Amino acid sequence: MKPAPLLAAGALLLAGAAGAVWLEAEPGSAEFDHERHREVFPTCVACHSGVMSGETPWPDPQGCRSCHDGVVEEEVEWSPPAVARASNLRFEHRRHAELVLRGDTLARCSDCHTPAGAPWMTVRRAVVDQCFGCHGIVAGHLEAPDTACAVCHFPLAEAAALDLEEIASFEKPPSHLRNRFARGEVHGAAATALAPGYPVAPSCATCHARDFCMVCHVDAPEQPAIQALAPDPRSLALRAVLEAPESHQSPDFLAAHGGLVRSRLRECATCHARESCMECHRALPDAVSRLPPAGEGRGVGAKVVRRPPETHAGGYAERHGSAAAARTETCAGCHVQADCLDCHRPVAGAAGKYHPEGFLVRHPSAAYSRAADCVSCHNQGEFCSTCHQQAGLVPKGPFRSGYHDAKQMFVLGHGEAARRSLESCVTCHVENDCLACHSALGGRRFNPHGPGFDADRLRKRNPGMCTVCHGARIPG
Amino acid sequence: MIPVRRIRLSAALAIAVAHPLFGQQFRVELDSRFQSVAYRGWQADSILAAQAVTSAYGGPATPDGFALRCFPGAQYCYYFRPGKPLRAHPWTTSARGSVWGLGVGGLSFHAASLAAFDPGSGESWPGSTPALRLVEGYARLAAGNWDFRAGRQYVASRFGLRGLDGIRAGLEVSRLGLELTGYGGWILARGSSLPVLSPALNPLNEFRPRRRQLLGGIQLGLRQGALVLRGTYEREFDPGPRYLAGERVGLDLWAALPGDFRFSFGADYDLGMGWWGSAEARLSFAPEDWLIADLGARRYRPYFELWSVWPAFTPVPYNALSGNLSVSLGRFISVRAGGEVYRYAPTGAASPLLVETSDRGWRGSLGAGYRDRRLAASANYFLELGPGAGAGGVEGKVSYHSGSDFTLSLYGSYLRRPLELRFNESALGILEAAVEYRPSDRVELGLELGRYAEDRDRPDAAAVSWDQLRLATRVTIVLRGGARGSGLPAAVLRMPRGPSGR
Repeated sequence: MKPAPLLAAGALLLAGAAGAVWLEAEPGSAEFDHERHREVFPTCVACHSGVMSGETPWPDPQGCRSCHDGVVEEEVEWSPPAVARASNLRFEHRRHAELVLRGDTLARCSDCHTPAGAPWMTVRRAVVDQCFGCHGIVAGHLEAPDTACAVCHFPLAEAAALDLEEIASFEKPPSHLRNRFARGEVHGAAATALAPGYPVAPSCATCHARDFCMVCHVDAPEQPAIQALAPDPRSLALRAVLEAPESHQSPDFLAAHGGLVRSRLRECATCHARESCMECHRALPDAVSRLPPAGEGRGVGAKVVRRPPETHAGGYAERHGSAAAARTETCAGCHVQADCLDCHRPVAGAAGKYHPEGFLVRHPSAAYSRAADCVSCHNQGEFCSTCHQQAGLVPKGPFRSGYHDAKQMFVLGHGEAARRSLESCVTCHVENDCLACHSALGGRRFNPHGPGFDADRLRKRNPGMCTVCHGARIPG
Repeated sequence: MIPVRRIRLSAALAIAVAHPLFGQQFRVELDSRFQSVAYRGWQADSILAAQAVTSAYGGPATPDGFALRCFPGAQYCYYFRPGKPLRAHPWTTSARGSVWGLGVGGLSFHAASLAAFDPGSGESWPGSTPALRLVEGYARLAAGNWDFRAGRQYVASRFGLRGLDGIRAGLEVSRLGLELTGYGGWILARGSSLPVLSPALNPLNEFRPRRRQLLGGIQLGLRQGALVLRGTYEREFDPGPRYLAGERVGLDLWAALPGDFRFSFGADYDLGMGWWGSAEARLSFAPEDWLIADLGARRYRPYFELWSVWPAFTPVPYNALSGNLSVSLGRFISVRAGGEVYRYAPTGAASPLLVETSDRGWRGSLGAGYRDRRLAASANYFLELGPGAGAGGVEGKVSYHSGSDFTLSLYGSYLRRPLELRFNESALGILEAAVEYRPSDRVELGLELGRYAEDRDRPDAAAVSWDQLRLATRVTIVLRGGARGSGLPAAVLRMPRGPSGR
């Protein structure tokens, strides 16, 4: 056997064994202090002989006892770990040893396990920069090209020995810290940039599996990159947080999102299943029906919380009329007609909440001037007159009421008040109360017609009304 | 005679034994409410005019101190004594349901009914007769761009929620942003689910038409970008002599303007009377979700059908300007303020020397609110003064939400209400506690207990105080299911159950 390969192999074995010991015991720990033994061991393979053969890299405890026998040195109790340390490293000492033996490389143990320029027996875990140096990778560890990770690492799904804690401790690459990385514009492109040779970048697969993507991606089945990742629930040890895109922060978003959905449905489908639309929409709009339904293999995606839009704040119920009449179909996006009936056809005896508590007492001022269109919800006869009658407010004739006692001459000067609030008058008074004076057929024949009254028009449209006061002799 | 009992029995049996079709789904909501409330009205009385005395405040009064209204030259003067306390116990049960998935795509049936009665009091609580009524009941077929409905239903337009027993057909052409709806049938009375001929709507024995009126209407909606237009034409007429009962045309507009502005406008013209009806315009500004402001103008003119004589009395409109501002201070606190001023158009009725009444009024409110995940609190101050009456007071409410199943609310208010045409300034204080409990997503229970204390201040002997306890209970049960079992979309299932659920 030629001495050079032997030397190299020996060095490699020593380095491998030393590295293995270091993996178990951090530098300076009581387990094994390589640097303290610097003068004792001229080679690595003296202890780590198993590295070369593919057997255990750990030293034989008997070797330690050759010095630590209680006479020369105090005894130590050490035994190699029963289970190899969990790792996602693709690295095999034996394969590297074979390369060394074949003369393909001049690597030594210290090339990987000793920082450049450090003295003998300064043993560390494999120094990544030095791995990169041999493998021609010019970048920091977490900034390596997307294809480079697979040189040394298994995909997460294949690193079965890693537990959740170890996965959760993965360091986040600087690229992930860039603004908007998680919001899709960047990470999606990075994951697919190498396609078609790589359906998903090996850099993604090193730390992530399909389950991780499915935290956010409702469209996982439609994304080849995600499907290229193996499923692995351990990948959820890394926490994914779905952040709403900036477009969603706009005050107009709620009002304008329908147009966005129609023009950029695929983007919406990234995070939204059909169900998230149905959280608010009572029926499936056309665009929504093209979104995938939630189900097996799809992520939960965005959770939509039904809430009224900003436009509905500040007493919107009192001023929704015009907007609701113009945009019925917009209202119908989130409301069913039963919602309208809740207020517009209130249930007798139900304590409705449109009006504040105690409104019954304060209703005269609102009713006189119709702060709201009372008749839109309350039938005057059924609601107002019934109650007024039972409260004793309904007169038994035009002059037989004492209600307006603050205005003694009210009956003689009621015209202005009546024309201003006729709806209030008729909640207590019937036509005959008024016709006693205002009919052309008898009484005082006071003309009730006010400004804007078009007798000709009314006679043509409904002469029946005219006959009530004018009989068959309708003037004009 | 219709065998109602047999029909009901058959229907119940059919429902009980029927197997659901594939895909058949339904949702039924049963809501039962009971209230115990008291109110105190008036008892009309009279004395001979010769017995009237002059009161300390200057007007005529009875010898025992009740203010009188004496018509010059009349033999009697009239007045009101405080009436006896009336206690009502309205008990209502409503059922609302939908069935779909009947094997015909887009076909569904919808119904809502109300049973109401007032046990014990002998007085009819408004809306408690007839004891059973069909609020709505229609079949719907949504096929492509078409939407057909037949039965008792409601059409939303700027004329309100018009009820009719009839048909409606709608066509939506999304490509053109066009929506066309036509409807017709026998109309229901405004603000009610009963026909206008129902005695329940005519307690005072007013004039009523002999037959139900027919209603025909058409709506045309147009959406172009941020602009939405909708025109509505409606015609009501008597099917007998073909007299017109009403004919109106209305236009509504909504637009999103640059700079976070929104504009809405609506106006209607009464073709029957030949005058403009009500109109409103509002400009809203919401640059951020913490600020909402709006300015509005409004015109209100009451509408009466032509089968009554009231349009001939020429009600005049009023014109109003209003503004509202709502500002969120951080995540939890918001403040709001709003106000409106209004003034009536000239009435053409000249009698100011005899009775001077106000032709203008205003109203305003100022409030603040706090809301986090568990706690909500609000306080409000309001004041309004207008023709006929005014009101002003403060109110506050605190609600605690324990997760999604339990809510406790406390409410208190104090208000005063002066009248213009009558001696009466009521002062009302309210303290109320309410509990809502939702043991499951299908059952909801509610209980309200309130103390109402009212003093009716008058300068005469009719001043009266009355206090009362009010009780309201509510049980809501939701049943849903079907062959596929998933029920309605989440949006519908989460719909608030009326205002009390919000």
